[in-house]
Amino acid sequence: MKDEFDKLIDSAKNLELGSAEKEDIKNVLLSHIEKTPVRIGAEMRLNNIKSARSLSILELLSLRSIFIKNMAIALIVVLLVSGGASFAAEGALPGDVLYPVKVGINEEVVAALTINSEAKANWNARVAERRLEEAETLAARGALDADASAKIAANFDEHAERVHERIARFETEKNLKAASNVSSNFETSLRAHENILNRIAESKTEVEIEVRPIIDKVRIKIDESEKNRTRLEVSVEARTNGEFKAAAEGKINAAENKIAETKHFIQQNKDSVEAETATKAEAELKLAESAVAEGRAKMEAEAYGEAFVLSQKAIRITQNAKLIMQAEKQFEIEIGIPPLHLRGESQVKARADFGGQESGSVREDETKSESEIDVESSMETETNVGPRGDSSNVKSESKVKIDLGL
Amino acid sequence: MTENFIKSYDNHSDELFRFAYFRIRDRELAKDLVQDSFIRTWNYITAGREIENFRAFLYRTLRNLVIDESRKKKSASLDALADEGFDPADSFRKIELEHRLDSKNTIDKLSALNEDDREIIVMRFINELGPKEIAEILGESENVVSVRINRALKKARELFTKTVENQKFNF
Repeated sequence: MKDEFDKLIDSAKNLELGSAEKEDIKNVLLSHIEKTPVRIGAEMRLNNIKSARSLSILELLSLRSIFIKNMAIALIVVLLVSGGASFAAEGALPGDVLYPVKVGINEEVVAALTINSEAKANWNARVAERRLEEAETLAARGALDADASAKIAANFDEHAERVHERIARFETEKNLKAASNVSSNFETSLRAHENILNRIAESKTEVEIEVRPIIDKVRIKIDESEKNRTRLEVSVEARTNGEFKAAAEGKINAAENKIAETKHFIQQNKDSVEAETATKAEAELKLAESAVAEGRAKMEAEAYGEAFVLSQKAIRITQNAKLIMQAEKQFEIEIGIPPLHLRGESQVKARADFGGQESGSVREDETKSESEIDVESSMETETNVGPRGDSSNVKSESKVKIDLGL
Repeated sequence: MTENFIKSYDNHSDELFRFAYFRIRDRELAKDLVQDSFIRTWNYITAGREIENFRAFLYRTLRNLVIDESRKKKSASLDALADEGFDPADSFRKIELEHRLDSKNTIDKLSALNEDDREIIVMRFINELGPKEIAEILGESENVVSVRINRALKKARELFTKTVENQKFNF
C-alpha cells in the first residue's frame, strides 16, 4: 500500500520537458556544436562516453566513426600507430624500398578507415594527386624512368577513374553538393599539376619522353572533370530554393578562409619563387576575392546555388595559385599561372567595394572536405600492452603538426 | 562523437530538468540551466578533457549552475509561486486524473523540505540515481550519502504523512 510519500514521488517522476521544449534546446546545442571544433582526442572521448576503459590499438583502429570526414587525420593516426616504417614510407618514390608500403598499405588503410563517401572520393583524388607529385619530384631530378612512369600513370588512371565514378554516383543520388565539391577540387588539382608537369618536362628535356604519357592521361581527366563541373554548375545554379543556403554559406566561409590562408602563404614564400609568380598569385587572390564578393551579393539575392558556384570558383583560383607557388618553391623552376580562360574559368567581375571581409568563421565540415590541410592534431593514446597478465600500461601523448601540402 | 553527445541529451535531459526544477521552481530558468550544462560539457570535451562518468558530470555541472543561481536570488515563497501563476500541468504527461490534480501539490510539498534533503530525494527517488553515483556528483563519500538519504526519507515521510493527516481534518 503506497503511502503519501510514494505517491508523491510517482507523481514527481512524471515531470519532464515537453517535446517542443526538448527540440528547442537540442537545436541550440546542435548549432553550438557546429561552431565548436572537435579535436581528434576529443572525438575519441565522445565515442567512449559510456566506457572509461583504455583502448587497445586494434580498437583504436576500428573506431572508424572517428574518421568520418577527415582522411588526413586518418592518415596521421595510421602513421602514428603503425610506427616508423609507415611514416617513413610517406616520402617514398617509385623505386624506393618503402614505396610498396606507401601505396599498398598506408593508402589502403586510410581508404578503409574513411567512411563518408565524399571523403572517400576526396581520398581517391588525393591518391591520384600523390602519383603526379611523385612524377614531378622524379622528373625534376631527371630521374623519371619508363618503368616508374608507367606505374605512376596506371595508378593515377585507376584512382582518377574512381573519383569520376563516385561523382557520377553522387549525381545519381542527387547529392549535388558532394558531386560539385569533389569535381571542383579534383579539376583544380589536375590543372595545376598538368601545368607543373609541362614546365618540368620543358626544363628537363631528358625526361620529357617519360613525362608525356602522364601528362596525356591528366589531360584526358581534366577534360572529363571540366565537363562534370560545368554540368554540375548548371544544376546547382538552378537551385534557388533554400536547400543550398547552408551549403553556400559554408562554402563562402571556406573560400574566405582559404584566401586568407593563401595570402599568408604567399607572404611567407615570396622569396622562394619568381617575383612574377608571387605578384601573379596575389593578383589571382584579388580575383578570388571578387568572386567571393559576387557570391555574397548572390546570397543577399537568395541565389544560393549561384553563390555556391562562385565560392567554388574562388576556391579553385586560390588553390591553383597556392599549388603553383608550392611547386615553384619545391622544384625551383618557373611555372607561372596561366590566365583564367585557359583554365576553363569564366572571367570574374571586377570587384566593386562590397566591403569584402578577409576572414570568416571556420566551418569545420567545409574546410575539412578540402583535401589540402595544415593539420595540427593532438592524440592521446592509452594502450594496454601485453595480453598475458602483463599489465604494463603505456600512456602516450603525441602532438603532430603535419602539412599535407599538395 | 556528436551522435553520442546528442543521445546523452535525449536520455538525460528530463532527469536533469527535474533536478533543476525542483530546486529553483522556475521552469524557464531550469531549461536554461540544463541547456547551459550541456553546452559547458561540450566545451569541456572539445577542449580535449576526459569525462569518466558522463551523467555525473552533467549533474555536477548543473548543480553548480543551480547553486550559483540560488545565491543570486532568494528562494521564492510558496505564495510568490502562486502569484506567478505557474502551471506545472503542462509539464506532466497525460496521467490519471488524481495525479494531475496532485501536480501542483507535489511541488508545494517537495518545497517544504530543505534544499539538501530535497536534492537528495530528487536524485535518489525521483531520478533513481544510485547512492554511488550520487556520492560522485556531490563529492561526498558513499557512507555520508547513505546517511543523508535515510535522514531525508525519514523527514519527508513525516512531513507528508502529517500534512495528509492535517488535511483529513480540514473541512
